[in-house]
Amino acid sequence: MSGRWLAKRFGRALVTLWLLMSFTFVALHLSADPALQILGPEAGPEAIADFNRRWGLDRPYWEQYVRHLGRLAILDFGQSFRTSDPALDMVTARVPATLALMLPTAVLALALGIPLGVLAAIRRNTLVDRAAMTAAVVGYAIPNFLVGILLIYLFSVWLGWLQPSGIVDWRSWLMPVATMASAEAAVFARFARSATAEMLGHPMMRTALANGIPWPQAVREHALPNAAIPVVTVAGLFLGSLIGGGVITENVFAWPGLGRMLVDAVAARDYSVVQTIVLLIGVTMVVANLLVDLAYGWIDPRIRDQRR
Amino acid sequence: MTEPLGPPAKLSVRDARLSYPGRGSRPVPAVDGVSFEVAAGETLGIVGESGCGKSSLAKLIVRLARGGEGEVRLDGDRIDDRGTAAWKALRRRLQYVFQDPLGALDPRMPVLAQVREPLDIHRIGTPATRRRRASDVLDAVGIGPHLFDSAPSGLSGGQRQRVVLARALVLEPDVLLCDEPVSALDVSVQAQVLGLLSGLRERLGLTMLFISHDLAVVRHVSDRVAVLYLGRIVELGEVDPVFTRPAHPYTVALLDAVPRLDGRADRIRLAGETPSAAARPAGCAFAARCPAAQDRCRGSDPELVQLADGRRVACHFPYVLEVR
Amino acid sequence: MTLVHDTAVRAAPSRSSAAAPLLDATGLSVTFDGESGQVPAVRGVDLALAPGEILGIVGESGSGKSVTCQALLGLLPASARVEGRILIDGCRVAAGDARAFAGLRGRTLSMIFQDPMSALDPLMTVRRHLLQRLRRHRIPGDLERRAGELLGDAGVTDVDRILQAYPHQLSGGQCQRVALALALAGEPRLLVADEPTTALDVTIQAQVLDLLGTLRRQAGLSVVLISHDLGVVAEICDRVAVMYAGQIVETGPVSEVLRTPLHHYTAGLLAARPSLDRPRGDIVGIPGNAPPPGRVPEGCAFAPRCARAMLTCRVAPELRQLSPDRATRCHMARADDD
Repeated sequence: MSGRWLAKRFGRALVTLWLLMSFTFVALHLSADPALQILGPEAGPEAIADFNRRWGLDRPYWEQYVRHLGRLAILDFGQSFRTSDPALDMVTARVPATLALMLPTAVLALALGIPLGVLAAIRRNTLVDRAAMTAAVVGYAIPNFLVGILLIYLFSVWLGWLQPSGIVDWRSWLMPVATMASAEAAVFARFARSATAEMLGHPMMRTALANGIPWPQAVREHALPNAAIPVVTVAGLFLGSLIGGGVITENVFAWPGLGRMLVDAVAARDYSVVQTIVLLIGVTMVVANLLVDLAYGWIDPRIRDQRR
Repeated sequence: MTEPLGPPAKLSVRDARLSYPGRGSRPVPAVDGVSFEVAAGETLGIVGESGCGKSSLAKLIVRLARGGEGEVRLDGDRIDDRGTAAWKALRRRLQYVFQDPLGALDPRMPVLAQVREPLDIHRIGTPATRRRRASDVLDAVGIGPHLFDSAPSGLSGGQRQRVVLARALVLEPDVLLCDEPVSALDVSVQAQVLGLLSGLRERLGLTMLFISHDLAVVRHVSDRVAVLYLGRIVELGEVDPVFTRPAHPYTVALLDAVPRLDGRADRIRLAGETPSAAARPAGCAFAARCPAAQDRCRGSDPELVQLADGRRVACHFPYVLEVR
Repeated sequence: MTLVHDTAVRAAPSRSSAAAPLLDATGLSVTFDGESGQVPAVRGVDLALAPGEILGIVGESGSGKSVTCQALLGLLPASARVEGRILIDGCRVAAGDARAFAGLRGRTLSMIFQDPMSALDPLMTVRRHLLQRLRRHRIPGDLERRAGELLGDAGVTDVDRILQAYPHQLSGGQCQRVALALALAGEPRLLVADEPTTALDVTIQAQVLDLLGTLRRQAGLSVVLISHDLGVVAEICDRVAVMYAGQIVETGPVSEVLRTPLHHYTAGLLAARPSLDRPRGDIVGIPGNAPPPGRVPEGCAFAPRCARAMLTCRVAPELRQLSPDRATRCHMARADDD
């Protein structure tokens, strides 16, 4: 594919990240004062003034903005207002915990959702289909935190089988993963069903059958590869949301990952930490988008020709 | 080209061009310098196969396509260079009928309301008179009052196309541009709609541009016909001479290709396909497939010239054949 | 690239009347489940075809011609109720037995459809399509070479380029040729073609129709050709069956049916068709609309639109054999009228 296309996509990615950073900056600065949050309501005016001077918060907004962008350009992510540790180190230290939670979730969601959706499409309008789609709607409609809390109530409080929070042993994974995977699998199932159903009705299936190709082979070799295209999009975007997707669940289960850190940092108005995490989420999203676009071009020859 | 003096042609097009962005940086010319005139009350048929540019030409005239060039005149006044406000007033006089009736209509909105809509938009008459006028037009196209509140999704193909016609005619346009108006209809219904169109044309004195790939249909409704190949007119003249004694080899081949009921055995068969507009060959675009091509044809692109009987042909060696 | 003069577009095959029919379908009926009850799309259709013969089926939308032909290949959805018996190349099949067709499709009989551009898998090259079909039918020998031969037989000139191409890179005519090559990969004896040229330019249509004629002459291929265009049928068919509202209303040799139609619907179709051979302005539409499947009136289905309907037409007419090779479903034979 052409270098021009790649350069355009890259440029757009940069603009997206810039807009993201700017929006975060404005949102943070328009809300409460970090000095008061961190030093406490009893802090005296000199302590507050010192705090602000130290962190450059007494400068005009536009100057703070420009300095901020400038620091980002040299990959300086600043320091935490609370601990003075470099924000980047703090954030990267938490990444493994989040990944440890999200990767099994992703695998489970894909492995459960997609086959379920495909099966539902093949057995359209039968009991299997209706049951699967009802389960999908339920899984999608109930909010994560509610599922999490219900699971905690059932397995920790009532049955006493599982620890409700933190990472203790392998069993700590069960509830958080179940919470998130159920919602994601539901989305995949519905997408896979509609993509597969559409391809099953495509005229190329009729031609293959008329030429003597048995139906299972036609589904395997024609319908499914074509149905993969929209599913790849959804899966790719989901992978992009891996870092930031666990915010609610991590908080419900007190999981020591980025989601929890983000919520704590926002509450404390710890600017640098918040901005670093947001930037990390943004970058993974943008990269995932780009990978999905590349995958498209690899899978679909029509797109390849368009991009030439 | 000497035209007799008199009132200007109802619709005249001069050097129309329209290109689409192609792969890479070169635009693909869909319409490549088309000029013609249509006199008041006349029907000009435009025929050609895929890639000839007939639909693009229609969209260019009605400004549904962006980036078109060339002069388009209605009663001698240029309409292609007007701003949006002036163009809106002009739209009343120049209406367009699409091929796909269900695509052209709102599938749920009642039929009478849809035919009224143009009157509302152009603020013609009062709400009371608009309703009456819409029902009159629907009646004229053969849609009875019992269908006024039906939605197009509940009507047959022929009925839908009548509604599309009604909506085009409710503004009492001077010129009607029909792009494959009967192609999606069954033969028996097609004949009904063609009959309707002929009757309306006479009663209302319409000038018509009738685009179709179906030569028999075009011959049936048109006074004159233009044959398009790769974005240009290759033959233009009155219907009878062109169809019985075609001068351009492409016209000959086109007519020969149409299946006949007598199933004659001996016919010219054109090999190959229309070349891509993106890679227009040097010289005459048809030379590669032409049975009468000579060196001069491959070297130089023929202009549209007038023959003795008033027809125009773009060919270095036009011939006049009896269709066998 | 020169002219191709084809001097024998329609050579009538010489066959003895004792030759066993290649296809003999009797009592074909197809009923769908509609929102408001059963919808009979095909109501008792009989079709017969001799080896090397080309049969045309003419009808407008709602006539049931496409559904009939899909029933011949067992391609209807499981929710459709199909009845009737089919004898194809010596094999007896109950039309409602979907599994029985699996071994026949592609090998004994095959089908091509109306829109060639969407008949192919956009993610597969032409070559992969052909190899897949060839492997499925266990064609022996060098498959790559055979794929090229199939394309050549289908009238493709630049075989190498087409083999590497994806469907979206081909024109409508080229796609239809590829579809034809795929249909013939298993060397079937019967090809069903459902409006194969309707979506194509008229010059390409002529090429494809010629191709079908050539295949019949050189390879003995029998064809059932569906069309709404009487001219197409006149071009290459030996016999024609006219369908209306799910039934056959007239059959006979093409030239005879078109010259002296015995059913008023056939006559109406002929009169409605603008033709380059007749004077301009000489077309008459058939009033009204064809009844949608499921709302067919009692008695003769065409009577509401027929100018000559009489009281007897309230009784549904049978398909009467008026001569050894002509039949019509009308209480009055047309031969005596003007």
